[in-house]
Amino acid sequence: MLDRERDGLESSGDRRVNDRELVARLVAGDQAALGEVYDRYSGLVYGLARRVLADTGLAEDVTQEVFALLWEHPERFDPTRGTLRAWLGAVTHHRSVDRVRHEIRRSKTEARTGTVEPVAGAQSEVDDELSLEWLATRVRAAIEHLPDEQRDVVVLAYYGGRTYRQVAAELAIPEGTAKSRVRLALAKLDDLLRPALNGQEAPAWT
Amino acid sequence: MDLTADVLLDVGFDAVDDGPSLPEDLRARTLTTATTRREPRHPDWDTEPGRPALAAFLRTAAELGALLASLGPAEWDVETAVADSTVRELVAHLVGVERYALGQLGRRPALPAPGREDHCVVARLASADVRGAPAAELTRTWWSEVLAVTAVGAELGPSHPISFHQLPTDIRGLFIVRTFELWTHGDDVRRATRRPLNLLDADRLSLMSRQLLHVLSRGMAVSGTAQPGRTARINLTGDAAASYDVALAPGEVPGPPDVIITTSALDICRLAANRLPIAQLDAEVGGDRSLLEPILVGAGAFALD
Repeated sequence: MLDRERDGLESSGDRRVNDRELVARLVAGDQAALGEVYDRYSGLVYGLARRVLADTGLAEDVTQEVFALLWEHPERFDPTRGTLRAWLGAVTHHRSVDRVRHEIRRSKTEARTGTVEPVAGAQSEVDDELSLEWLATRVRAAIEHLPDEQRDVVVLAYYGGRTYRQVAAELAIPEGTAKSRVRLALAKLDDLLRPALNGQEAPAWT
Repeated sequence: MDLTADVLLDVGFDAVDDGPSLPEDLRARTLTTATTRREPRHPDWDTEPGRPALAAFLRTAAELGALLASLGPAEWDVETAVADSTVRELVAHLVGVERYALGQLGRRPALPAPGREDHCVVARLASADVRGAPAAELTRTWWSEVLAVTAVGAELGPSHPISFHQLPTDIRGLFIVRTFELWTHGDDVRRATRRPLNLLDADRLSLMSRQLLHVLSRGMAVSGTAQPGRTARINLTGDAAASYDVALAPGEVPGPPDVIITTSALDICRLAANRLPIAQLDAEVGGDRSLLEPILVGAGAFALD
């Protein structure tokens, strides 16, 4: 079940406050905040890494890398561009795909020469940003494929931060209709985006 | 707010969020790996009483950040009640204040502003480059400066001395002063854009009202309303309910109360921030009623705009 269905759209404001507060605590060097972030998002990070990598050991490595990056550079999360959850998901996705490519290159090299290629990492910071941009582009494109009435509610709810009640009032539709249109829109977006999120469509950042 | 990221996580990441259970020791390994890469904050922040001040500042900054992110384009140019400032100008002011604070902490060129009347002038000077900037850029700049102050304050520790205009204090005090200002200007924005006011939580309200009463005698001295040899008992009501005996002149210890004032902790903080006129404070007064006005004038002495 989606968070928004569990908590209602009203919870998005609280989430934004909590994200900012958590990241500010990380900037302040509060180790307890790191534990809280891990407890909240490790399921997402590990699950996504495992899905892309299909290897528990590599997924654990990526999980550690992602949270270490957040602790080392929490200021890289820009709350004006999205939620912490989305940022962690994008970073995890990029790191996982990067690891897949690295493993493939290493296997080929080892098969050819018996030597191991050094780990590439210098480009990672830029790539994380590119990965987020890549995912953002996919979402924008997917939204354009929604029917008008579904796109309107999604844009109002997510761009405008409106509640179901406010969306319904602005579009002069019943609140129940607003909810069902959001639900239908999210299901449609789920279908459209799932291949990209599963790593079946790799970002062209190299 | 970027639509893309929010939609992305809801439609795509929920499936994996409910995925495989995590290895039991992964949490410990992950936290160990991470924390070896960067020093934690000054250890004094992990002991009372410093920690709540930093936490209060961060919570209030986070609330203001989320508020700014929720504003529509037209709302940035709405006039607030602050010296004919729009929301945009108010946020630019906050950028300037953070930069002034960074100067006082030695991380930017220091800007001389010894008096409370210098507050707005120095903030305007320090934020000249972002005045009129687009909302997103302004919000990002302000947040970045907040994080910079946070990082320095966390590193130096709560007892590190700093002068904030006419007020010699420490970093713990700085964060309380800054909490007052962010809360106050956040409510200025909320009033201007017709949003519900921030009623604060009990922890912050208690921290702020306690600090206010701690410096009340200095405020009365600054205002010229000190009452040597006199004491007030101030009973605060609401979520931060508590009772304080306060000497009404600096350097004195409280004696038996000459006046007993019972009022809301939230309202006394609003009065101290110059957002509630003395005449509108709802207070029960027992004993020498002539002491009420000098006390309330002193409580407002640290309001900067």
